[in-house]
Amino acid sequence: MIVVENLVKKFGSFTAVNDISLEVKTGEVVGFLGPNGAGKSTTMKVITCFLEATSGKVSVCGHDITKDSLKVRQIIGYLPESAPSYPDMTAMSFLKFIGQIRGFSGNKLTSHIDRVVEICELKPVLHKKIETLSKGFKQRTCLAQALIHDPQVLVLDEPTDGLDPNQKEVVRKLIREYGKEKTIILSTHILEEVEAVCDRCVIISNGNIVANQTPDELKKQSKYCGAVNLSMILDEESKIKAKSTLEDLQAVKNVDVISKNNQHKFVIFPQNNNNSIAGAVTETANNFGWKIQHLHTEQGRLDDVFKELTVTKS
Amino acid sequence: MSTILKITKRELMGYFTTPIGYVFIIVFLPFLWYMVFQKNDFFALQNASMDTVFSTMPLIFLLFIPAVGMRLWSEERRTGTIEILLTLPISIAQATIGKFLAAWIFILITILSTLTFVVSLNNLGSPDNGVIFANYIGITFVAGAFLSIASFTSALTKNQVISLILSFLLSFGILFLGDPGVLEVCKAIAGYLHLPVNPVIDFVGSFGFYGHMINLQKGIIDSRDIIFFISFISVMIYLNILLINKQKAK
Repeated sequence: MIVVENLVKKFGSFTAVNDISLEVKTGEVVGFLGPNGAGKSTTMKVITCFLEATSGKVSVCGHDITKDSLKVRQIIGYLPESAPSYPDMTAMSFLKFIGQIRGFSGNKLTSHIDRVVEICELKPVLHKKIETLSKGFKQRTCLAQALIHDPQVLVLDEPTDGLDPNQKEVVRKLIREYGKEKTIILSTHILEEVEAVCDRCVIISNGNIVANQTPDELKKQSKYCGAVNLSMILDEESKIKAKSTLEDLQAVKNVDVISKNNQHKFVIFPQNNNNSIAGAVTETANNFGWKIQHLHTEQGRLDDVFKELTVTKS
Repeated sequence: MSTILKITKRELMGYFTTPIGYVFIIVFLPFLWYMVFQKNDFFALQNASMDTVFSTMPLIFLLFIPAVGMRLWSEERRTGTIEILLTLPISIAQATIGKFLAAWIFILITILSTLTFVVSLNNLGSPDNGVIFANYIGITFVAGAFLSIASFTSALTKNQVISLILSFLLSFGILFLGDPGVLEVCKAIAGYLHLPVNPVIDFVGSFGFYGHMINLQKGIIDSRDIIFFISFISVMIYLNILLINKQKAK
């Protein structure tokens, strides 16, 4: 469990984090989203005791990060951005070092190392120097380091950065598994990742939290929520007619058309996001004898909401 | 304590799992041989003593130790591993001391590689091994003091070259601070300017290494000199810890 209250972090005159408050419960996976430089990493660095806050209070499982920093660092497993590790060490000796520092030795150390090697699939590179490893293996070596003490709280700064799609899936599965009983904060630039693994999504922009909701709630804010996608083959003339016909429907607000040759994709926005217009659209199409290739109602688009919330209006 | 040693072990391994340690030793020894045999003509002195070796070593250390120490912290910052290190459940003091010890042990290994001189001398004549021992103690502390400066400057900047130059200048200054020649010049200038600052010059000069090295070079192990070096190293390490701590809140 992590509680952040009115956290402010300044670098000189630059305010990286401006009065952030949030709470992450045990068994919850929270994703930090935001443009580069928004303050995601800085917030994580404060929570993990790497940086000191300018003001505000942070506690991890009831331990204050300034008064009880050592305890906090025992509880947390941290994967820093771009997964740094000692390049001249082998993956094995690196994990051993971290394990020993975290107080394990003998059989216990071996079993913990075996566990994370298994989880992160590091077996093939265990005795290779980290500097010779591919980005994916480096990333997973550092992730293994964060997991070695089976931490109650995980802070992961871009955990799937540099991984191929298969490895991404593995890490996401791991986060979901872990997230059932632990507290996890992760940051990412990949929006579908938030949908895939996070219970809650915190969007940070310019050091402020601009949204703190479930991915589904966020998507509902999108103007695409409830919009109907309709693909048809029509000639130019019928296309224009179809567009105006659809726009004349009572429940429809407006219609966008994306065309490629005679293939047209209509995006039909409803007046009210809560009223389905799929029925009305289908009926109209049938009345006019349009050949529907494809039709579906959108849930909303995260990238649209993200843009809406984070692009500074000039 | 054991945490410090774990840090030391990891750090020390770095000197030998990479070419860097070997390179240093391979550069250090021939350079020392050159200085001792070519410049000072070791054999022509017809003297079974290590004086030339021990008077040369601090000069070589002026460059050698900043080079060894420059990576201590700046490398961690450059590669980002400092984020891993300082978010582990260890104190900054443990990390700093552990790192310092590793580099000191590495330097000690290079110092001990000069034992070949001692063996040769004992075969060729009968040197005063007591004096040689005192000199080894002295040189180890001088090396430690230089290293504590290098470790501090390494924490000061991400750039290793800047760290090297800074610690070289500081070490150079502190090595010659107490040199009688230097003090003489300072006093002469002060006298010319009619400034009554001779006691100040002597006081500042007493912080230089020179005055604390002569006894050891003569074979006298004076506890005051040892305490001086230990205090110097402790103060520098303390400043180092403060610096790392301050960078967290910057």
